[in-house]
Amino acid sequence: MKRHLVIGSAVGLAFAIFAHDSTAEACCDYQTRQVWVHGRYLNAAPGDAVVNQLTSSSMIAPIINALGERFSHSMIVYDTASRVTHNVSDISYIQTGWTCTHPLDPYNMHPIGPGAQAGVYPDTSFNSFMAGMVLHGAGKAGCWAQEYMDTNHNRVAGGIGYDLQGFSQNVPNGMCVELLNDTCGVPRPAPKYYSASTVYSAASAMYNAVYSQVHSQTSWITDLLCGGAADSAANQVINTMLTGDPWNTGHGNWSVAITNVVTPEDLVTSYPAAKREPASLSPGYYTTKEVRVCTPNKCL
Amino acid sequence: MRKKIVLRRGAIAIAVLAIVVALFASRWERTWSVRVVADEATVAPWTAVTLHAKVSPSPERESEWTWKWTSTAGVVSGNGSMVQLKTGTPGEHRVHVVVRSPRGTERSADAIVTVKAPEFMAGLATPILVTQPEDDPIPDVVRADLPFRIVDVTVDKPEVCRGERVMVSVRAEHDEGKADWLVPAIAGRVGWSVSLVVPGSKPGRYKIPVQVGDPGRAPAGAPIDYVQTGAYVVLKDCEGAMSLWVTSQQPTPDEEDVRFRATLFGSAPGAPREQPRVASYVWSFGDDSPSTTTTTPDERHVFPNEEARGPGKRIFTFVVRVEARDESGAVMATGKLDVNLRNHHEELKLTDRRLQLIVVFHPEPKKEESGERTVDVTLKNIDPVETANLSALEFRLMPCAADQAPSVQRRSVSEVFRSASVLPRGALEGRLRWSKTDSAEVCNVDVSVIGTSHPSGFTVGGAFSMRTGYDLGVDVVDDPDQSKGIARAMALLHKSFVTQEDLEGLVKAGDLPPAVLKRPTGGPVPRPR
Repeated sequence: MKRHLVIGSAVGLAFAIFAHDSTAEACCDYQTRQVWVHGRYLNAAPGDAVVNQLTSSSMIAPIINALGERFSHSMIVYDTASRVTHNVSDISYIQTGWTCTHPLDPYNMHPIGPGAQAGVYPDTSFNSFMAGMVLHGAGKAGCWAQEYMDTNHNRVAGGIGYDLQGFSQNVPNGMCVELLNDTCGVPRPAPKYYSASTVYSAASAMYNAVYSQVHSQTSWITDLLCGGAADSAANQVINTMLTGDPWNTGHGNWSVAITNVVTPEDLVTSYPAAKREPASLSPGYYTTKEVRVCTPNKCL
Repeated sequence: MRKKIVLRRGAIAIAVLAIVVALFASRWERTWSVRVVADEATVAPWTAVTLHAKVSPSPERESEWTWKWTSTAGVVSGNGSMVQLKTGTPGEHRVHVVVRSPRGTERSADAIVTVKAPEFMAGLATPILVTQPEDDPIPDVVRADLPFRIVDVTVDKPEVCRGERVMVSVRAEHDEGKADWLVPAIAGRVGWSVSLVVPGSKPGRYKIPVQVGDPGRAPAGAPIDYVQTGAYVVLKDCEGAMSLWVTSQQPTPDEEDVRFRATLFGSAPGAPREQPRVASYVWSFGDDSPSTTTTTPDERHVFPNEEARGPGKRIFTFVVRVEARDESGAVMATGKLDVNLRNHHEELKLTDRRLQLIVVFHPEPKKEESGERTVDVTLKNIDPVETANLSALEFRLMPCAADQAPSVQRRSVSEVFRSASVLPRGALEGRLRWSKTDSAEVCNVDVSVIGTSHPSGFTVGGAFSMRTGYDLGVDVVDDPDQSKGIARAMALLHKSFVTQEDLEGLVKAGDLPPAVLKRPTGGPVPRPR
């Protein structure tokens, strides 16, 4: 019985190996096809951190600017294909038009998920493929965000998510620099002190930006039916950042000092100048190439 | 005889008298006085006060009079009998004028102008009225110890309706002539001019924080030294008439490449409440490029890059102006937006002592008959002073297996370039070669230049790359229609590769269907190692 089992297993194994080989022969071949060649950071090796320069169209640009900083996101290069730990948070994940009183869906805001996608090519969203700085040897190769949202905004793994409150408090994996520190071994830089007036100024700037954004997307009819949506949405964002309360659509106390958060700017300035350099980018493009194409469905 | 003598003497006396009268008349002027009248005695900071030196009686030929104005506030603009005073420093400011008549007579007069922070609304959704400086959540920051200061703040619309945008601008000066290296921020947005809406909805006067800082002074990690003042805008209890909002987005990593959208809001007072129809949009970009006209609300523009902008300034602000016009060509509304670009290369030189070269290379290698792949590379040095001296090239060979470590080799500059120096504002051309026999298992050859600059000894940097294999970091386009579209785009543009921006351009021109713009999703997520 035991012998039969062994023989049977060997046959099964041989069959499995044969079947695998024949499957590979049958399903994959070389074809001339149009391909998308992903963008890459040319001077970043696996384990290096890449810190994105702030762009004026970034959603958090008003806050970063008001704090006098230049960088908006940080990530670790995962492998030689230039994939990275995680993308920037995709603001479109937050559903708009939830209710008149809460124009942004509070359930989408707290937590918001650590970056929209993890282990992605940096050009899948231009948001994470911007000029910036490479910090050589800052973290661990092969590190990735433990939890992430896939391209359809489905939560793929459990765990602690990005938290907009990470802008004002030290929340585990709260924002990108904390995530790199908590998960990928990047040393936590010393936090800076932000005075109450600096925080208020940043909150006002963010309020202004969200207000403008919502106002520019609503028509007069929306405004007629749902008056004050821009104001409520702006308050929701600031309140989530400062107090973790996305349900609060009113104006809270935004004149508070912040003492224990670290930002991408802190990561760059605390890193030795000799081990940091501007990121060299090669954006993605389409071309025609002979590539190995496998069609799994035909193998069944 | 005697009578004759008397007549002669009389004539002489009359002549002398006439001469004396003529001399007196030539020197005589009517009594006059001067006083200074200010159009407002008390104003908010950065609000211009018009001062008029009124001479009484009014002079007949005012152009022959001279007026010399001085002020304890320092800044008086204009000349003649009417000038403007504008300052952000609270307090009483004496303005003094010395007036000189054509006859050379001088008289002087003074006026006192009081600059006082007004009561204003603070807080956003439920604002409160701030009446005392100590209650100001964004108080002014005046630092006499700093070598720089704000010298002017302007507001294009001091009074606005709800939803109406206002453009605030700031100007600064620096004792060492480094004003162009300061970082301005208006309502938290970096720029010398910023377009914004008043942060509130309750009618009243609002304070917009205006800040200028010097990131070069503080040690790494320390807060930036800055000064802060406020611009004041009155929000009236009215809805904005037709207004044009302009928003921007950066579609590529190239920050000079900006996409704009204009959205028209509201309608003229009394007009029916329906979305007005815009026939055309006229765009000007504030960078000396010709204006453009579109029939859709979208436009894309590439601003001058750092090389074209030139050195000597950290942040350049371009004010984009858009006009929405109806079918008759009449302007329905005008919108403005600021675009702020940084001179990153020059900033790197100051902060990191690094001379970063701009590297231009073709992303797709040429394949020679021998099987060798080549990529032409140009190194550009936009610095006006430093020469980049290259000492070596670092080759990083990226294996096609994603989880294998790259191998690093140091090679001679002569493998790619004929010379090892890139002169100030100069360029150096070279060719990277790679044959399959070098290594078939390599998918990317990444090359960094190594060197130092002369005369300052800065670290020289720059990188380029050649794709040698397509087994990694490549997605096959599965959609047959998209595939056809890409092939057509390459044929139309006579290129061996096309970018997303190329496709967008062809779609906009109507040469390709919009379906071609579908983006690859990014492939499978890697498993943790």
